Amino acid sequence: MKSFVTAFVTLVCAFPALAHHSVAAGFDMDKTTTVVGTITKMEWRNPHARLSIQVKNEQAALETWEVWFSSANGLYRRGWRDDDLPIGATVTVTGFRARDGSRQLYGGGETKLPDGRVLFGGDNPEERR
Amino acid sequence: MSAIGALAPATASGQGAFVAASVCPDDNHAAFHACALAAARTFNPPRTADGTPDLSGYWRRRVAAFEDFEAHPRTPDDSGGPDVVVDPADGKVPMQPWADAKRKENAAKYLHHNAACLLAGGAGTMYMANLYQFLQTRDYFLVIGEGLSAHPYRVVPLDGRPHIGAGIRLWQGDPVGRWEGNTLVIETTNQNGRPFVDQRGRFFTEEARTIERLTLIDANTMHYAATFDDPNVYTRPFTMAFAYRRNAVQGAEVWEEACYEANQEQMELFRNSGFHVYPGITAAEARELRHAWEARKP
Repeated sequence: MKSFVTAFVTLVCAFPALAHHSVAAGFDMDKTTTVVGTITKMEWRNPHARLSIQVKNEQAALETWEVWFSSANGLYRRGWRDDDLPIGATVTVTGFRARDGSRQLYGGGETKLPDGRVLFGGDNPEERR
Repeated sequence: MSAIGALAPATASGQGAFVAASVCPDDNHAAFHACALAAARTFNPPRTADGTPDLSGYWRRRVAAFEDFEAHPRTPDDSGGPDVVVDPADGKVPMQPWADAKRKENAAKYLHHNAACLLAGGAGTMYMANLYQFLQTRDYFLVIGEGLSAHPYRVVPLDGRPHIGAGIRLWQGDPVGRWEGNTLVIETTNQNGRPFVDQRGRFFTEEARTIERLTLIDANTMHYAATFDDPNVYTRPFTMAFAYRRNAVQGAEVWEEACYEANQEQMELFRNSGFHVYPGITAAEARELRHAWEARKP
């Protein structure tokens, strides 16, 4: 499995907005982080679904990252389904890292699936159906 | 299959327009407000069996007024949008100076109530940005919805009853409705002053009163105006206005969305980042803060 974690400053607002409430209270929205990992668990919950992935760090050790998304309802309405995220699949997630430094992301950017499909994890009301 | 599979049957979710066409464009709220007031004068709305305008159905809003009542840009944390305040005409919320300072402090220290799965207040429930269902009988107007955070509902009696006792304070307040011509007027008192009114830390006390007006201006568009009156916080009453547009997605339905299901980890993250649940403010505390502000030495 390839690693890993990359971060860069957000120069252009390319993501759908997340303003269900102020996500910025918990996540640093001035920069994005991209994580490549293997799915260990997907929890379809409200108000935010959570994906657990194992990521190989620069020392080749495995770390668990938690990725927060929109509500389970919101993801379903956007087209996400249970079998889109099978255990063991490799996904690439771009989002905003937790302010407290923990290995948590808000997956407001892209989530690339193993088959190349890209799903949004944000909460843009214009895109909710 | 996980829990999501049990929520509801799939709803059609194709691309394209998700609201029906409107006689008044609603990208600019002030322009919509003026257009809607004119359109309402001549539109004869569909009616229920009891003869009152039929406001029932699924409705959507195209803007996220809960973020900021005033114009704000699109960012990674905001959908952005124009002013929703139509009175005063400059679109600005008429905060008292001490209250504006308090607002900035609030925004830096406290979570918006939705982050904690708390209720948004009577009018606050109406300017989220997702799916609404309005139900109507002769004696009640009911509001439910999805994507409104804490799964709120409103039950508005239309039977002429008085407000509840002054000592009772509720998150959603006590709404009482009446018809004025083709307009449903909802007066809400008895709020508890605990929610913000937007995500910029604007607030009100338990002495606040809101008047909401809902009027069909064509078969698929509803004009909504809410006047906020709290002399403890604002220099004058102010009014926001926007459109509800009839849902155009086939098979729409409101799904269960249990906010408390899994919010504890998020709350821990917020606390670790230094944010706390807004404790609210009483009218007495507001007056005290105002007096302290005015007594400051230059």
